[in-house]
Amino acid sequence: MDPQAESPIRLKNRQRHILQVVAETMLPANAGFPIAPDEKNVIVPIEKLLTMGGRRSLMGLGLLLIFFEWAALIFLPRFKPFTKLSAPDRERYLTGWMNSRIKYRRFLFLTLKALICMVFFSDAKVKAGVGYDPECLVEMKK
Amino acid sequence: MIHDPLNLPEKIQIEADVCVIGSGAGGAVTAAVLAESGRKVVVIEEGGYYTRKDFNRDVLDMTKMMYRKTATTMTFGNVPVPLPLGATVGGTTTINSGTMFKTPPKVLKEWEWTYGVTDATPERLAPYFDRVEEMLDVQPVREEILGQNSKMIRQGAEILGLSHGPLRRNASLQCTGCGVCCFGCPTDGKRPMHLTYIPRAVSFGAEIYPNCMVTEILVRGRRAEGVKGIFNKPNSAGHAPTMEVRAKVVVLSAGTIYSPAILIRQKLCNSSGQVGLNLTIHPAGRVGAMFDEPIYGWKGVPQGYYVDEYAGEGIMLEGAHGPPALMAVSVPGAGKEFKERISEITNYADFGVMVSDTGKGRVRAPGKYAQPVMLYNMTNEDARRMVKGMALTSAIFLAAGAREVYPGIGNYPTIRSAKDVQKLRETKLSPADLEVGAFHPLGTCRMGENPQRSVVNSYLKAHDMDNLYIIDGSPFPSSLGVNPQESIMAFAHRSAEYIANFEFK
Repeated sequence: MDPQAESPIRLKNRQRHILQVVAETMLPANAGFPIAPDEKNVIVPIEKLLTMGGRRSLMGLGLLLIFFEWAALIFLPRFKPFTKLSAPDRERYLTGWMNSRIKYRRFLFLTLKALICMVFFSDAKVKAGVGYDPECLVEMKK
Repeated sequence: MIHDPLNLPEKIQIEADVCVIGSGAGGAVTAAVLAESGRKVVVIEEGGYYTRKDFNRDVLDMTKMMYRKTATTMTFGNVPVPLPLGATVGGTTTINSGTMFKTPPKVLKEWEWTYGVTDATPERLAPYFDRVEEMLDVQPVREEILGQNSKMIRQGAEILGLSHGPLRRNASLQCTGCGVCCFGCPTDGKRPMHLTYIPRAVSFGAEIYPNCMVTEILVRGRRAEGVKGIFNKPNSAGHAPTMEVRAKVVVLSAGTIYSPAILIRQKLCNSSGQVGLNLTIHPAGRVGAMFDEPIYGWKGVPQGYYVDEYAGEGIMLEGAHGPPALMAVSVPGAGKEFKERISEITNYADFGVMVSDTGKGRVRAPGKYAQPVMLYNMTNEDARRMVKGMALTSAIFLAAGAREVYPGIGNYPTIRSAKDVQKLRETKLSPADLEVGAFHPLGTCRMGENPQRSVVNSYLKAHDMDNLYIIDGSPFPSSLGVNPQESIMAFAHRSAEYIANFEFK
C-alpha cells in the first residue's frame, strides 16, 4: 500500500484544514518526534482508512470536524471558530472536550484523538523515533 | 481447498453434506470435525484469506484488511462501546490476543440451573477442551517473551500479595513476543483457526470460500435446504460470483452479532422471541501508568499476564498493550499535557480490566442490506466493579513504582498515591463516566432446553428447525467472565460430534 497515494474520496478542503489544526494542537511538533503532523502523515491516511469503511464514515468525520470548528462559539467565550483561536485557546478548547460532562462530547473527542494518533504513530519515521521496530522484534528470535 | 474468488466462475452451485457459514472459532472447528468424520463440508466466509506473508505488522494496513468496517463497529446505549470484530478466514481468532480459558465450572452450573442446559458439565466437556488445547499448542506465556509491561504487573501483584500468573495462550514456541497479535501473527507463533482447524478441514476435503457474503438461508418448512451467497471480490472476468450450496445440514457460525442478524432478516428460529436479545459483551476498561524507566510495552506478548484476585466477583485484570499506533490514544490528555506524556510513550504501561457483565443488550437488523445495530446498556453494578478493578490495577502499578497512574475514566484526576487509590475506590461513578471497550460479544441466540426461552438446545441445534445449528459465541446464555474462544471451540467440537452421530446415521 502506497502511503503517499491519495484516497479516492477526500474530505473537503475546509474539513482538511480543521483536521490539520486539531492534529497540530494535539501532537508534538518536532519535540521528541522527528516530524510534525501534516497532510501526508495524518490527513491522507485518515481519508484512506475511513474510505474503507464506506463513504458515510468519511462524511461522518467531515460533519464532526465542522461541528468541532463551530462549537467553539458555544463552548469557549471567544466568539471565534476553533481554527481562528490562539494556540493556548485551542488547547483549552481540546481539554474542554476531553473533560466534558457530556459523554458523547468526550467520546467524539476520543474518536478524533484515536484516529489522529493511529495514523500518526503508524508513520515509519515516528515509529522509528519512539524506538518501535516490529521487524526487529520478529527477527530477533529466529 | 481454499478458493480464490479470482478463479471462480460467475455462478457456483454445489451439493454438500454440511454448509458452514463463518470460519471463526465455531465454524472452523465444526468444519474440521465433520470433514474428518467423512462428510462433504463447504465453508463460506465473508472475510478474505490472509496468511503470514500478508501480515506486514502495520496497524493501519491490518485494520483495513481484517477488521470488520475497519474496526469501527460499536454498541450504542448509556455508554458508547467500541466492539471490534474480525472479518477474515479464522474470524476473530486471527486478530485476537490468543488468550485461552476453559469455561469456569460455576458458569456451567449457572447455565444448567438457570437455563436448563444439559450435558455440559466440566467432566463432560473436559475431553473437548483437551483436544482443542492439544491442537492449538496451548501453554502459559514463556518468561522470555512476557515483556516489561507484564513484569511490572507481576512485581506489583507480588508486593501486594495478589493472585496472579502468566496467561495461557494458543501460541507455540515459534512465538517471538513481537507484540502484534491483534494484527495478524507474522511468525505463525500464534495458532488461530487459519493455521489449525481450517487446514485440518481442508486436508479432509472441506472446501473453503472466502470473500463470500451470505444473502439467504434457503428454507422449506422446518428444514434449511442450503445457503445463497454473493462474493465481495470480483473474479478474473470482473464479475462478483454468486453461490448456491444445497446441504443436508446448515451450521450458522457468523458470530454473536451477525448470526442473529441473518436470522432476524429472514424471520427464522424466533418462536421464543429471543433471537438478538441477551447480548453480553464483557465491558473492558484500562488503566495506564507512567514509569521513570522505559517499559517498551509493545515488546513482549501484549496480553501475557493476569491478576484474578477478584475473579469471584467477575473482575479479571488482563494485559492490554500494543504498538504505539494503538496505545497512543490511551495516553491521557490533550494539548501540552498530552504532548509531554506522549514524548515519554516508551515509559508507558497499560493493563486491562474486564467485568463479567450483568447488563444485557440486543442486536437489531434494520434491513436486508443494512449493517446490524447493537444496543447495550451497562449497569451501575458493572460500573462499580469496573471502578473496583481499576482501583486495584492502579494500586498494582503504584506498588511496581509507577510515577503516575491514569484510570480510564473521563475527567478523572491522575493517581499518584495510595490515598488517591482509596479515593477512587470510594468514588461512585456511572457507566457514562467510564471509557469502555469490549471484545467478547455473547448470548444473542441463547441455548437451553425450553424452546420458549431459548433459540437452540444444549447441542446448539435450533429449536425451530430440524437441521440448522448455531455454533459460535451466540448460544452462551450468560457472560463467561473469561475470554470465550476456548469455550466456543469446545462446544463446537461437541456439537460437531453430535451432528456427525445423529444427523448422518
